[in-house]
Amino acid sequence: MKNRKILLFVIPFSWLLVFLLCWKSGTVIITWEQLKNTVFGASASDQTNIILLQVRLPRLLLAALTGATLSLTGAVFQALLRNPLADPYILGISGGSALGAVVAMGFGLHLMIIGFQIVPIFAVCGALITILFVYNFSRIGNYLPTQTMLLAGISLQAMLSALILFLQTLLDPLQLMQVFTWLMGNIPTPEYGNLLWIFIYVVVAIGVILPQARHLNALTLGELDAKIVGIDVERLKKILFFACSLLTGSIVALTGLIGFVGIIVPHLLRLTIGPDHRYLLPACVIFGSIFMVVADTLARTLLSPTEIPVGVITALIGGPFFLFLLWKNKSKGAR
Amino acid sequence: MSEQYQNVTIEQLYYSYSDTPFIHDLSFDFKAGELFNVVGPNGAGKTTLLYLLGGIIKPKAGQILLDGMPLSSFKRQALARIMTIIPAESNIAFDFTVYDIVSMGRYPYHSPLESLTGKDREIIGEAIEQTGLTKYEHKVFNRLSSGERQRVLIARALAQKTSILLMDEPTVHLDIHYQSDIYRLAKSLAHDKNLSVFMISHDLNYTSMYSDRIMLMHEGRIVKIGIPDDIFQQELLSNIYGTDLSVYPHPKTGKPTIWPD
Repeated sequence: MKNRKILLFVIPFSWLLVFLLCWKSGTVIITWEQLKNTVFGASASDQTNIILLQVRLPRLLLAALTGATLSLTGAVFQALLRNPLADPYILGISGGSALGAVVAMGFGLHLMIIGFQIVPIFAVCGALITILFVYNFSRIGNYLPTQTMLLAGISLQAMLSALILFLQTLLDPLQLMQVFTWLMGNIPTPEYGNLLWIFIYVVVAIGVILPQARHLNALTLGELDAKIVGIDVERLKKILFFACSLLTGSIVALTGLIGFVGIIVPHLLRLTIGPDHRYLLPACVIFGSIFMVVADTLARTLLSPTEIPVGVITALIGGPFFLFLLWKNKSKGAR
Repeated sequence: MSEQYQNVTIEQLYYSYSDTPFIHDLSFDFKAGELFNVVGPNGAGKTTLLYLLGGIIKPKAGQILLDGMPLSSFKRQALARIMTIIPAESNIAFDFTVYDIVSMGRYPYHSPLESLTGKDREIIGEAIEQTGLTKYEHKVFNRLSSGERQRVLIARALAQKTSILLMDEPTVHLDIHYQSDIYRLAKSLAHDKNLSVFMISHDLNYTSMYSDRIMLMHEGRIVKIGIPDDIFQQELLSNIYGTDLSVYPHPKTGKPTIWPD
């Protein structure tokens, strides 16, 4: 009990500390003094203010939202599909959102309709269609064979990538360049207006997902067992598929394809705090957000002033980690 | 424990997988205070029947009544306070402990955000003790033997405190000690706690020793319902199972015992 109280203090404090450190880091050197002045509105130079508030802060916030989203959806998909290797990227769901987004961009639908942006909506639909397809394609009655589902996801991801490549050939060079850098997985510097929309999507979806934590615990034993303890499984799946598509789609529309975060973060957390989703899901939001903030800061600063796409960073950390998990599972299976 | 809804009546139940009929026109009932066993060869439709009774799959025709109320009129969560299923086996992708899984039996009594009360913990502890799992309480479910896992699923069902219990071959992975324990537990739940216990079993000798009534099924139909002496007759069983069997009285109890020839 005492430990928990300490954690309640330590976690937000260290989160904030890391966030400030990342905010301070960058190509232009900023001192703690300048950061303090900008935060408290004291006399900082205009240039510093612009760098901190207009360039770095919105990007850091988007990185935090992205990390929280990818980690949370990863954890949810792993429970839903009863497979520790599931995540939106592996299952082709990110690819589905990306295709949706590219279609919207290709048709020049960069417009807003009554305050709603078209690209994220297409991306959300793409995500939803893909998840429903992979799920229903793979399942046999009450049983969801892991292998079929992963293979279906991977082949779908390949087909979707091919379709995206094909669509790219139809784009003019300027659009092509935009789509290309976006697909690599980048945290852009968003406008505060866009950021607000994404923030609302993410908060709504998180608000829907977090209360399902206990139901997810029961679902990890399978749909039959979840029904036995009184869970309306069909309804739960609909809610979660929809919320996760909303999350994945709205993030992919802005950041492109950032892989592996959805696997690494939930796994590390399961190793430290256990599999109970009542703790795991909030931890994914907290730790996932800061993980992405750090990854994006590395992307900005490692080869500064050149930027590495953050997707490259996460894939370079995540790829080996994924192989490690496969290897661990393999030795477990041979037991 | 919910005292209402104990007696189950099945009327002209029909079910098919795609176009192949699997359960034909079943009508029977089982009551509070009764250990009701279902036996029959593989593919007789026993597990399908259990899923129909548990509301896991929906009948294509006919109905299931709980004290006169149609099963379909219950919400999932309300149903989970009335009846539960002990599946033949379960596996899990993550490292939940025995205690975690048994405590899932209390889910039907709470909204998603409530946590376990002292009363819940008492009930969970009791269920763990009844199934002899006390020293495994904090072990990871996945690292247990299949017999131990089966007992965890039984404990979870007990923690649900339902008045109707549906068991799908609950002793299939158990050694002879726990087999006897589980049959005795099932019988005592029926006779002492007045539960309705519906049990699929492949062990004809245990069924003969403990069951109050037995239903023999073959190819989705009821062959016969009755007490062990009615069902376990040499010619009938040999016919249905398609192999030569002999029936002798048990040396101590006089109940029929079944032997392969």
